[in-house]
Amino acid sequence: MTKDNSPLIVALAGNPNSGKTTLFNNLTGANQHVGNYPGVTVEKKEGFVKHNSHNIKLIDLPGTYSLSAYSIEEIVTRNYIIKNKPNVVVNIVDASNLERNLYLSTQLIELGIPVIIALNMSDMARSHGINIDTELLSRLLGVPVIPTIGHKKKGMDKLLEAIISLESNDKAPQPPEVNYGKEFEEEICGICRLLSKDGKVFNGYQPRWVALKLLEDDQEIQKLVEALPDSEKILETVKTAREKLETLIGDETVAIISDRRYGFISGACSEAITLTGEHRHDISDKIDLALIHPVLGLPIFAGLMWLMFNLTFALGEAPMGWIESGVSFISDWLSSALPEGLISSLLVDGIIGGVGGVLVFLPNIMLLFFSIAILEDTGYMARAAFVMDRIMHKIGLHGKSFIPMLIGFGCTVPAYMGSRILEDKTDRLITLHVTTFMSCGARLPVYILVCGAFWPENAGNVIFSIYVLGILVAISMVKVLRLTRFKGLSAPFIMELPPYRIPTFRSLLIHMWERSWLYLRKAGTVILGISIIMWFLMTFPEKETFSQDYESLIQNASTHLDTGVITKDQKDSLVSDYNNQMSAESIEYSFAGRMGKFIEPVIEPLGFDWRLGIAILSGFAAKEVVVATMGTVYGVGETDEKSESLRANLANDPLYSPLVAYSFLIFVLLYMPCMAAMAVFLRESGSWKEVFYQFLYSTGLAYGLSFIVYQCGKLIGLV
Amino acid sequence: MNISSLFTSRSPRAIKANGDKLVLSDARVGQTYILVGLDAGHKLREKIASMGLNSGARFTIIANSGHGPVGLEVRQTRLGIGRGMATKIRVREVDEG
Repeated sequence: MTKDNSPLIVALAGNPNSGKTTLFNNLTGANQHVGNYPGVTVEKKEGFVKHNSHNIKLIDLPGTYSLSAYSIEEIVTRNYIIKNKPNVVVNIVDASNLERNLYLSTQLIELGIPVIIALNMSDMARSHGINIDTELLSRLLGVPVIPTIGHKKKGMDKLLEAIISLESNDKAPQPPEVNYGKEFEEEICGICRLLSKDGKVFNGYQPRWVALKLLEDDQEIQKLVEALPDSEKILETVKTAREKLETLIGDETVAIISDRRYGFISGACSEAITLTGEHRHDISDKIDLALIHPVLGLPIFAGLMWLMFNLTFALGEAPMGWIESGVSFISDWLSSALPEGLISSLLVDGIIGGVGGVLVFLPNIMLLFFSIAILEDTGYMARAAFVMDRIMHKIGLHGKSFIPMLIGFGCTVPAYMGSRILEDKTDRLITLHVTTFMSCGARLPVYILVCGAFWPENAGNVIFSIYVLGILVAISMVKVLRLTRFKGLSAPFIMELPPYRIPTFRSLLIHMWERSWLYLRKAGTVILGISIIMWFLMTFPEKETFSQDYESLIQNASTHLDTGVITKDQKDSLVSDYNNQMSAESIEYSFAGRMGKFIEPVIEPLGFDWRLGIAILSGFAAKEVVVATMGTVYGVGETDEKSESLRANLANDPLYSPLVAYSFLIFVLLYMPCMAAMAVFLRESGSWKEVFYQFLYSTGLAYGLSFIVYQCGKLIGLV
Repeated sequence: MNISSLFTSRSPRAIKANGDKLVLSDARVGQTYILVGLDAGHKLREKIASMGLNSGARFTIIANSGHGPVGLEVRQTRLGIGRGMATKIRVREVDEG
């Protein structure tokens, strides 16, 4: 019984793709992710709903197929239910796929918590010729069964009614238990008797459930029992029981238990389901004939990816331009409105320059996420993983790893976030560690600039070689990591291929927005902070005396213009030259310049001087900042990658050669990810240790390869 | 089992000399099979069972090219099973009818 002020706690549990998240959204109105890709909901999500003066707090548990302790999702789900004891568990069951879904239901019922089954997508089941007698099913399972249609918001009120009435009904009917057979039941009873003497230890664990888990050899529960005073006796009994049952029935207990569960389910289903007409093959079958076709599958996949990237960049161009002009409008306005000085410089160069540079990528990122949402919500992503598993497996990764790696060509931040689809922690960490080498969009401006300066005829090929190098490094690093830090094979590929669905526009938008928001928030927090630091390092200490008196030189130029010695154009170009030389000198004098000089001896074997050193350091803020910094350091003022004067400066600098340039490109490709990516890396890997490892080994690899290339090049005379 | 097929056919679908056990990786597209057994630890057994593939389950192959994962349909669900795993799943052919 709950008082009016304390809400009913209701947990939603169900298989991936059962429509759980859609139902959660319908009930709470909360905006969050609806996916069609197995394992999309990994976090616990909460929401509130008020129904007839009852407050209900809903918890969206991760999608699971079972309650064994073999995946994070399963452990999260089962621990939540056992430890938090929700008032009711609503088990969302896909009606068109009843048997498999009820496998989880039988285990939820065994936990001894009030369960309500939401028979979801009952319309789809009917259209497949599956008619379910919900009343009979409810009687057979011993729990209320409420038909719902998630995407049409049907059955929601009835479901809420059922939750409230089940809660207010003290004597909920005791659901029938799955009968595991005479021999099994005897052993279960024996173990139960040993356990219930210490019943209080279990904190609501049903002795029968614990006995079953012990027979299944569940390590988590075993640990729990080991804390009991007579644990030895119990575990000994379990061991003999398991051996006895296995010799008697001739199979492992795990297998027997799952067989008996399915036996119970089949019995219930054969009574409650009537099939009208044959199970006709639906549209999914026809689509799958092409999409996972051994020959056609890969080209279709490649085509879709090509389309996705082209759309992302083509459609993103216009909004990118708007943001760019918006940012430059604000900075122009600010620099004219504010008196020249430190404040104006901080706001314009530091904050707006830094954050604006990151915001510019927002349209691309949103479009990329939108495309990914389409691939996920239609059900294609699982097919793509299926098709790619063959190749990825050879490399030593999981079929799903290609998704984050592919996104990595766009931006490393969402790519790291995408690694979440990998259930196995080792697979996820390896994918995170190598996704870094997929050359992201922000590194491209650097390549364009450098290649334009040194290989104007061949820029495209050189850039392509850098991309290929990134992929090769990623593949080799998977192998190296598998042999050293993460020994063993990748987790076996077992994946549901969910039925194809037409996603709703709303769910696509929610999906896109949730991920884009994370990126945007990063721009407002971490990147803002680092931008200010970078600005500080490049501004202070301020240089008082310059090699030439630029102020008076500029003054002179104005006088020359007034006296007609030079034209207006000549004057403007003189003034901007002076300004650029001044800022170059300032930078050299600043902390950043000193840091560049400080690391110069370290990077000298790579062919770099202190100016490239500053450029590399500033790339930590964001990779595209490298270009802007080079513009400042080489004293050519505001630049982009197409800047002719910067190119000319680079190409004509006696210190640089194509060899230095290539060594620099390799370094930029491989060294530590930018700060935004690092922040996400921390969140996704969950450990600072991995972040430091990533930082050190990527930068070490960049150093090593650049070193080898530069030194070997020098040996064979390519200076 | 047709012994000569071992020598005449180099097709990946040829039945391998794995005792007289037929494994999932050798299954033919369109054919229905019954899962007989699984040479895997109980972690994987439970995982596969929870996705609908327990011993005795009937399923139909929807994709198997001899490379990469095997696609199948069991209990109205489609699953992709990696090739490594598929070589450990013992199956028996079912006469369609």
